[in-house]
Amino acid sequence: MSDADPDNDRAEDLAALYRAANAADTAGPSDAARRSILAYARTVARDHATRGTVSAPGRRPTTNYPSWRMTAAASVIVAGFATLLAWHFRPPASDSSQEPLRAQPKIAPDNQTVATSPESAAGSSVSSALSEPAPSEGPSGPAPAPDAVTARSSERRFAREQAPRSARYADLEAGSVASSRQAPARAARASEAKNVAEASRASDEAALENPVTTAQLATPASPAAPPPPANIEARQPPAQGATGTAGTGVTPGSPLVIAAESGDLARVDQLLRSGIGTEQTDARGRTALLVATLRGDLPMVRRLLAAGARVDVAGADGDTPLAAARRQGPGELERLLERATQQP
Amino acid sequence: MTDGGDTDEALMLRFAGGEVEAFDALYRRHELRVWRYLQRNLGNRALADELMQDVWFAVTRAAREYRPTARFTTWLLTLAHNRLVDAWRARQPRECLSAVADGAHGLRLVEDIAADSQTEPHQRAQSQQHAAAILAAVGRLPPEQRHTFLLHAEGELTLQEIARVTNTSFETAKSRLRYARAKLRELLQEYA
Repeated sequence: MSDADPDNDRAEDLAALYRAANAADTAGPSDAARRSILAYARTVARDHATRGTVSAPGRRPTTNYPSWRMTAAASVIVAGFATLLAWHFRPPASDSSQEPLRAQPKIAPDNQTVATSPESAAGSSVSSALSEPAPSEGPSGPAPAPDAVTARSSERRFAREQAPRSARYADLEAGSVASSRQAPARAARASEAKNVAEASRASDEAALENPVTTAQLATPASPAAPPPPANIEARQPPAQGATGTAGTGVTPGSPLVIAAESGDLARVDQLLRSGIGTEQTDARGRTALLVATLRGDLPMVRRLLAAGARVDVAGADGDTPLAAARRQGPGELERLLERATQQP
Repeated sequence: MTDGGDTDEALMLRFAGGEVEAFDALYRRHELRVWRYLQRNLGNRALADELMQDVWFAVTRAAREYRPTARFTTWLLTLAHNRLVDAWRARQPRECLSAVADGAHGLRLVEDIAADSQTEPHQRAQSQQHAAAILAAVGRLPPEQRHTFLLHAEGELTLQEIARVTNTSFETAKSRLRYARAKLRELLQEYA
């Protein structure tokens, strides 16, 4: 300390005095501070020793090793490529909504063949029911539960009650659903439509096995609808453009014709209430009205006329209900049928 | 400074290589010096302990980057002085360092000195008076003069080293030390 104050010896005496007083001072840092410092130093020393080992030649720190970076980059590239492929090959969302549109042309020829007069069905309720969008034609929304009753399902139910032919549509639709990769919700809706058709078929019994003409479908009637009045004046007007030929849609053993031939008015009434068409014919092309006229069953004729049965539909041999009534001589039956013929 | 033939700088290099025993030796060698420097300036043992840990933690963390370009004691007291200044600025202690001599610590120090069996009774009394007087006088110095005097008397640093530690010029350090001695003599005259 010669450069501290070399000219003043007393300055060194002050430092010596301080050191002398300091030498006897036993005070020092607390044991806690000392232990903390030494423990920390041991930790750091171990870290120093570890670093020295890791950084030895031939070893490479993990963070600097480029291998994992290559692996990570390759994984990201592969994942991105797989995502692009999946996106590219996934079925477009619009396919599901277009499938019923592709199936509809298949049904259109059936309509042409089934309907005796497509023009006459244009303004009828049947045509409107048939033109209802298919269950999957509507906008893709949340699929209702299979047993849910929606407005659309009610409309379809009404249409199928009016036109059992729509059950075939449901079958076709169900088939298209089964053969395509459509959403389960659409399959549920198709099965719902099929269930509705089956219920209608059960209520109609074997009647639904026979295709009906659009003229027959022109009479709206639902199970819940009140029965038509017995008054013959309330009969429905015949469909326009009807040919009067009952040759088409002939099915042996039509339940309505069988019931009319057996004189079972209650059965006929039950069938008419269930919405069965009045123009179904038997193997000889005879309608229920013609059969009832031939039998001279006035209450049966009155009930069929009230249900909208046409009086100008001829059988296979050209016989019509009015002609059959005239052959039986003047009477209430002839007047009833003539009056029905004059109705617009 | 050496311990068993190893200088401070050699011990630091060994500690940087992972030898914790080197640090233990280094710590034992400089423990009281650093702590007293802090405690004499702060007048607070708890705070001195806290800063003591900070200083030695910094020493351990900087061990790998330590280069023996200067004396280890200079570098160590520089760390201590910087933390002292930081604590001083943050805390602005109002208590006077003369409490060291006025309090229990000072009394114990005086008693320890008086208990020295090598001294005669009249010499013990004189030593007690001198020890209490010098410690009280140091505590009453202005901060810069106290720093300088303690670095000189406690840390055994040269004026050049004191200037480096306190980040001042050599002349400033020399002036402060001169003023500190003059102030101590003046104060000791009062205790005499």
